Amino acid sequence: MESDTWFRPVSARPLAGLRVGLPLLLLFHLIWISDDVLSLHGNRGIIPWELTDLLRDPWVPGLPTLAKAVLPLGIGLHTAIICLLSGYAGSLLSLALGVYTRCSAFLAWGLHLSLVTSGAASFYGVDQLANTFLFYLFLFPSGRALTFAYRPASSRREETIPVGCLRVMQFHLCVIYLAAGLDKAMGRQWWNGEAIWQTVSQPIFSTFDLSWLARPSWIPMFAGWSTLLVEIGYAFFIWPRSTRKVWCFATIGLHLGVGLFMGLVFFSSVMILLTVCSFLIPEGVPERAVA
Amino acid sequence: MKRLLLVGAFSCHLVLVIAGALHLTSRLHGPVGRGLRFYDVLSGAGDSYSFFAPAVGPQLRARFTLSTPRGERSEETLETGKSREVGFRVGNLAGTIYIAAKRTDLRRAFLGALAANRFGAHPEASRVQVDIEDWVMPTMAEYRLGARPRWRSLHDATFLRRSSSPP
Repeated sequence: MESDTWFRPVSARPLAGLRVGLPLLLLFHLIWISDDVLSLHGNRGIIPWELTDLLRDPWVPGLPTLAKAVLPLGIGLHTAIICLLSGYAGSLLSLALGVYTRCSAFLAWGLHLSLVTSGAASFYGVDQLANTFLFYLFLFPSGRALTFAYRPASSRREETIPVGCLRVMQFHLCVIYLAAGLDKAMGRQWWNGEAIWQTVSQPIFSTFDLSWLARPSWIPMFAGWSTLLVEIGYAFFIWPRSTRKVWCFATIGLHLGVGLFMGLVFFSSVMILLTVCSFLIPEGVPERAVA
Repeated sequence: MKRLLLVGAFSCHLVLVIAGALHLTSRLHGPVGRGLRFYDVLSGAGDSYSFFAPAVGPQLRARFTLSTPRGERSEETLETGKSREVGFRVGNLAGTIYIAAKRTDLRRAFLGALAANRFGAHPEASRVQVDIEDWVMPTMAEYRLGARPRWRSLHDATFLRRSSSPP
């Protein structure tokens, strides 16, 4: 029973899909913010390293710690940062391609963590989610499918992973949605529609002029209730086969809405990827893998 | 035996995921608490997920009023001209500075860092006033009655360039 619950082989494709998708999204994001990445993380950034050091966990090495470690080699700080960022981009690309997967995942996770640590002043939820799932990509055998690395035909049967790897990620995703939904449900704003109104009215999130929403206030109220339903219901309705697809598409719809009306495109893309890879890509073992 | 250890590790990890979501691990102190928090940071197991919850907080921004010795004045915000994604991050930065600025020992340092950044971008400026502001959004009912959103100053500080610095 225990062996079936945790070690039954399932398709490696859901995990491999995440291994391809997440690094590519992180790479696009890095390119997207590349003009300002040194302002956010560099030694001459908006907030100097001496101050960002006050905000970070002292046990986790941030970008400054890594950059200063290479100073004895005669490399300047600026060059060291450029090298570390290039290493991060390289590790993301090689992880997506499935080349030296475990090593690439370790580098991508470690460098992402150091970026998040030193950029604590400017990071938001999607950074911590990316860190969590990069950790899983390093920990679990994510390189058993969809790789460019050469593998002999006889190793096709390795296109499976223990089901426990997938279940841990699925369970974690359910906790994320349940906690996010319950925390929202504790505030009045999500019940009376004010949360939606306040969010879409902030200049930073505003993609369209939605001030007319104040008049038919049932629309933001409906949107608030729908958000609560999708997020809280995720942990319960994503598991049964009969409701899984409906909930996946409802969740994808929620994130498309967030991307469209709040402009959180990167966050929405990552969340959609997590649901698609965890629950929509079939986990059944392909016949050729068990042959 | 190996499988038993793996099941134990998976289970402990998931317990920490739940504890993190319930905001429990942050309350633990001592070496155990520190150890757990270290693992939490590495793995993300201890993260909480209160996105926009229980209420949506106001947007914060840093606004600068720059003055030159000839009396010219200009205004800008930190996120001016940035992409939307960078704008989010710079907005969060303003929020972090606001939280840090509640501590009097850190306020001057953080606001001063912002001012130094603007002095660097505008060598002609001799004076920078830094304002941390929040977006005051009326409720839907107030909006229907005619109230309109506005920026409100929360902290402000003025910094002068030392005369020995390059112009």
